[in-house]
Amino acid sequence: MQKPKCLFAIAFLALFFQGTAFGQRTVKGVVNDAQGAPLIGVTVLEEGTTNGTVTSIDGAYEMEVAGDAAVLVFSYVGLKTVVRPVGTDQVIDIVMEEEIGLLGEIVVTALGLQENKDVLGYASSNVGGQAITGSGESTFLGSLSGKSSGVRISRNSSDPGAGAYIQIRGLSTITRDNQPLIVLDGIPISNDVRGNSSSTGVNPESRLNDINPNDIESITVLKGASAAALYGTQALGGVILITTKSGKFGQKLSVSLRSTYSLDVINERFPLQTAFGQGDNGVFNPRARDSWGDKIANRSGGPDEYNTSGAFFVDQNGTTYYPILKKNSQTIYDDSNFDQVFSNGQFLENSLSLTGGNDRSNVFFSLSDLDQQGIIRNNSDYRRTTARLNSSHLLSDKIKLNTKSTYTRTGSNRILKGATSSGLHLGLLRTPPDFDNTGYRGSYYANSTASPATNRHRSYLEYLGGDNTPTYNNPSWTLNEQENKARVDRFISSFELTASPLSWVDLIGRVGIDFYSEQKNEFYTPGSAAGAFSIGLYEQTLASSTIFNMDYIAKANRKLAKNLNGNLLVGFNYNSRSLTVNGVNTVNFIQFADVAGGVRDKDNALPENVTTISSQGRERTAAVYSSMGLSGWDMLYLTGTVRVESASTFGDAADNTFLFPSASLAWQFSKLGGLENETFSFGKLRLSYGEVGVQPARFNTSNVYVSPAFSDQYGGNLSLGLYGNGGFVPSSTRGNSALRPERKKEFEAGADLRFLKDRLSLSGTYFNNRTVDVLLDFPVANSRGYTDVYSNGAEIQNEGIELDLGYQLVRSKNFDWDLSANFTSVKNTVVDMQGVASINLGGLAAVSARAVEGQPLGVLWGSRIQRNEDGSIVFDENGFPRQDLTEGVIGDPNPDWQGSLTSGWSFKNFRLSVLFETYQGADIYAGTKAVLYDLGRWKDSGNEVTAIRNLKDYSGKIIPIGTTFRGKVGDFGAGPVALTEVWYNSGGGFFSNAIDELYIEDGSWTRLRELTLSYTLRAPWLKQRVGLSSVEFSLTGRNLVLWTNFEGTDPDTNLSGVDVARGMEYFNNPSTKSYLFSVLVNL
Amino acid sequence: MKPFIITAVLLFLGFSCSDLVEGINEDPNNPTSASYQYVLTGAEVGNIILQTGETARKAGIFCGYFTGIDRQHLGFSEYNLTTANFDPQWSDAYIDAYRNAVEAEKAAEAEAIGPITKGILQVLQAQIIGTVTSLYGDVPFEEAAKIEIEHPVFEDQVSIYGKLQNLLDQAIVNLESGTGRPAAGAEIYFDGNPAPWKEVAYTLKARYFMHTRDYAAAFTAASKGVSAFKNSLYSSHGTGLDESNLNYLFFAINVRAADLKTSNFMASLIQANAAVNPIPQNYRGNAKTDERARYDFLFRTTNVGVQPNTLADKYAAQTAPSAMVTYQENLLILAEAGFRSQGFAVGLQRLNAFRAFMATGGYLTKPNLAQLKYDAYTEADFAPGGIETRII
Repeated sequence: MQKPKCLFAIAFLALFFQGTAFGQRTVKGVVNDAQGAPLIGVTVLEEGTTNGTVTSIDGAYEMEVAGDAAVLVFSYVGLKTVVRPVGTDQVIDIVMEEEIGLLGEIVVTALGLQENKDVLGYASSNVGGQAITGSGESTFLGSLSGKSSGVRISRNSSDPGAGAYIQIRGLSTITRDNQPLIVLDGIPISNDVRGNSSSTGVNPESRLNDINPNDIESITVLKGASAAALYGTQALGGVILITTKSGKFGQKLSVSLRSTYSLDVINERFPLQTAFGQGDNGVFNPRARDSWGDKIANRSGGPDEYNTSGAFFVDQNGTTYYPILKKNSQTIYDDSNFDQVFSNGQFLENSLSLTGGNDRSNVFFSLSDLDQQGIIRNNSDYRRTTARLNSSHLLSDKIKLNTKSTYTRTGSNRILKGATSSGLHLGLLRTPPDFDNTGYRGSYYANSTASPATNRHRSYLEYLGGDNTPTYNNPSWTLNEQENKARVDRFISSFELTASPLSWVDLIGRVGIDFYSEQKNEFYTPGSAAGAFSIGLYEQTLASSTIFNMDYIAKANRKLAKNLNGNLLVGFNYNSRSLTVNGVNTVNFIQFADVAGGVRDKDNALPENVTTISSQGRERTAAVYSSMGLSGWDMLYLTGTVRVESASTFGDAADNTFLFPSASLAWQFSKLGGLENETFSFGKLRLSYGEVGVQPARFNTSNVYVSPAFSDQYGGNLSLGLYGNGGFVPSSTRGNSALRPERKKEFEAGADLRFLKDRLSLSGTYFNNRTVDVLLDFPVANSRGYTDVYSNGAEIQNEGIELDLGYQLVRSKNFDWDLSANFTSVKNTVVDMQGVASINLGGLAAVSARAVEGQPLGVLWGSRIQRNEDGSIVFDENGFPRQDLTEGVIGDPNPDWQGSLTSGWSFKNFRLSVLFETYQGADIYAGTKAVLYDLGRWKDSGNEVTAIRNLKDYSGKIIPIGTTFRGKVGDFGAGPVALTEVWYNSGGGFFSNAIDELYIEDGSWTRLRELTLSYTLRAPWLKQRVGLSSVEFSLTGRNLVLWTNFEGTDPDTNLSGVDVARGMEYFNNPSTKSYLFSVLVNL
Repeated sequence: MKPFIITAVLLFLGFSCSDLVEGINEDPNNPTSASYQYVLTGAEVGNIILQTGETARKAGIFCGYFTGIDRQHLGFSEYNLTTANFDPQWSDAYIDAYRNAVEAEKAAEAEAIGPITKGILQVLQAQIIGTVTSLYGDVPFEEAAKIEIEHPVFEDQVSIYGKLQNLLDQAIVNLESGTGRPAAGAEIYFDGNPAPWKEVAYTLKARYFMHTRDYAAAFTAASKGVSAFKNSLYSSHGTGLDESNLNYLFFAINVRAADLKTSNFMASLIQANAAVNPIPQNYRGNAKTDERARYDFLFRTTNVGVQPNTLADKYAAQTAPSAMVTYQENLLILAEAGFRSQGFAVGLQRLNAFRAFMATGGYLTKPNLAQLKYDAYTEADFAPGGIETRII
């Protein structure tokens, strides 16, 4: 709460920046938009008078003003109002920018209709297109960070094109999608993240990233249930409405070309020790997993001694490696090993757009291309190419046709992350400091006359490639011998016909389709460390997804009586979704094949090792809805909505029709006589209630039989299809024919206040929502023969406040200063779990995210320190904590609060803006740290200390006073103890059933999210000689500074990817900061 | 009034919407029923996981056959365990194996398949629950695998053994009935042949009598137990990755080799080479016994240590069957139960029967007969100073 308070102070101090002058005369000028195109119909008013005019077709205006003291106010829907003191100027040319602030806005409401924000009875946030493209993010999702209260965008890594996780007003469901519904120009579109895995796999793309950020006009976030109730069971996670740009009637052609280059740099590196070599117990061992070996400084130096008479290995460069007899070398390879894998990433984005129109038609057209190379040297890239055509035609005075179409192609290549022996960071960070990873593939010779065993994987655990057990991948193998490609073709089109038979009635028919196909290719050269890939794997899948949506809407506005207006809307919605996935999976290659060879032959395996993948899904929703609004005395606005919906996912056996109501009231109390004055310009109180929901996952209403591969823990699988006549057994999850939707009921109250002629705005909202009938795979005792039953029953509550502040501190001829800030605090509680102890939401085997009754959703769960009833730690005889026999809650990854602060300065043609974002009070499990301590690789595990008293280590051995030992002195509450290899190899590490609670850390952060300096060149000579109306240069820093106590990596990371399981860090791919340079040319 | 009218109209229209969405929630990817023969196959595959997978490895650690040396298995070896460590094994037992055996029996009854199929499934159930109770003590049995019972009661271990004997007796009656063999290909162990199943049932009876120390009954039951090596109950495996021997998958494919090894004790029993035997005095070979071939079949030394031999034709080869209820077990039950209930002479006679079996290669695949010797023992070998009197 500290920050908003100081903002107030700044705000009040800055109240007094105001100027005055005098004299009567004519002023003229031209009003252009930011791209340099003339704006027609801009209202120009002399402040405090009724004297005004509007701009003509070439954007020009001319008017009489009272004198030098006059102040002109330029306003235009969707653009930021410009207040300009006249001073002594005769000609005042104005450039109007898109509305980024929050004053008097037109916002998009449910169904894609437009409404003045001041009459809404609920909170909604609006983000302008400028704020999206100016953020320096390559994906539009990332650019929403910090822009809106109540919205949390969490990243997973900086892999190119990777998805991010959105939470609007907390988590509302356990197993169903918490992600908001995305509505693009009135059409719900897919936000799929296919192939996300909660502990390993790759960081997949999000289909949201297919949208070209340059096409976005504005984004509106419907945060609450009452705002989103017209979307019924699609809107549990809130709604993000995206409006793309369009041309304007009567606007001459304007062309914009933007090029952006970004340099991406890793922003944090794990601290590693370089004092001790590979081995255990202080002894060098070239086959050891750990780096608890000998002290490197004590080695003689010089070359190692080898046994050159027997086995050897020849790597891909022809370098020969022999068995080490004595390790003499003191060379440290940490930096060279790192540089083999990581370098700076970059992207180049070019986008072109054209807008124009005559009096009957207008068009927006764009092309864009983003080509990104990740910080990982190979096989980590992303390319997005888009085209869009939006057009609008007036077929007659009463009929308007809108069509919007876009095509996106993305290609990406992704690297394995997280908890897999074949992952990238895992193999790199575990490598001992004295091991050189350069040779990763080659031939093993048992002796000088033996024929070579070719294509062996050389890793630090098997430095001669002798018997195909690399255990962990050499990171260069991960980079070069594993491939995970995806290519997507996507079309989104919408067609909207609006007929206005009467001046107060509109009939709208809107049909939209979102289709994508995604072809994925995975290939692993035989030899990878993880069992699943070690014998070679090739998988190709083709997924095709279609969302077809229709809305038919009739709406009417009428004056009902003096001081009373009414509007009524009735609509019908039909939505059908389908997803088909087909593919083939081949394992255990007959002939050796590698990534570089390019051959992807599914016949390169015995028939029993070739499996096909085929699944189809479909669901359908049909609904009728209505909205009724009443407004009275220009200050009271009452809206009620209702949606009655049927959906296929409830099955045919039970009731499948459900009703979702909402009501909201806005009262512009400032319009009561006499309240508005110079200081207080606007006040609104709002109150609303609404219900939204989510449908059950499809195909869960019956009990099915499946033909699975039974898994053997830590081992392999046995597939039923390969035995006897094949097998079918009841699915271990029971279906349920009496499913209901999860239903979120939300109450919200708030106020919007504006002061100082609308220059200072404050907005606050309290909300309280409760999701009932939350669907779960309720675990049952396995001895009943099943693992779980799909059923309604849990309950979740979110309570929170959102505050927004906007202040135009300075508005003068050459200098503007804007400030805005937001604050969000959400308290989430799983209220009821029907007696189920906990539900595993994903993560590691050791530490997972869980739903636990009475706790926030997603609490971290793992092994704990054993404690007595009074909370005191139970110690073993040596003073170390004992481990509790049962696992339990060890941390909460949800933040106490989050906030952001934005400031923008513009001086003449320069503009500077900064965005700070903060995230406070969230726990994170430092899994990488736990492992690196276990392995003796973490920085301070390489420290040596001298005992200043007799100390016991974990095994009870006494380290006498005055002895220098490797490790640390720690105190768990029973006096100082020596934290040495034995401790980190058991309770204090990661493996061997360590105490996970020891590595729960504070994941709070504050960062300089964006810093942008731009200069716009706009001059007559530019227009006359070069034909350009303006050129804008900008420098942007993204994620430049990070303040956090978390060590090793950016805490805004997540092992589990785009998933409700959050707050776990375990060998994920690293995060970056970026430096961008961009040029925008307007013609 | 108006909002209510609109709501009423919408509700009416809404209910008519439900026609638009009907009939498409039946899962096209999975059937809602399956004939007994496919469930039976599933139960038998589940049983392979239970009998030869992680349950066997964990039990092997606690019995001293294996030593965990890294990651999770190191913790198990140190008895660093939480209750959650056994959840997957509980699921192997009660869902993949037992539930499917019970469901297959129900389906077979509904389809009126007949007594032999029922008998096979009863033996299977007895084998599963016998394994579970022998490992965990009191466990759910009669109330298990019934979805309608919310908290299946844990029954007393001794009473479970009693019920298992009854179940196996019923199974034997059913197996002797001569009708109702399962469809060809459904039963993957003996393809529905009741004769070896009956012998397996008797060997299981003998095994459980051994557990309850009823040696006379064990001897009687084993006398009708598995009568030839080919009648042993072995898991079957093939060249498909997902039909491989589970030890092969664990030690050779999933690269858990670095986590678990054969214990020094286990290896020392049959390692003839004193130079590499970790505890040479443990070696069980003598003038009449040469264990080299058996060692070579079971183990090999990797850079981790002594581990199950995953090479072709060896104990843990990809296609090697894993022992579940065997002729050799039956022979050894006869020897021990015979000794305990009938006296030394019977015990020795039965032990020599086992040795005679091993002397021709026994259960080893393609043994090197030159490195194998199991000559018959005599009473004198067990007398003071005899070659079998060492205490280890």
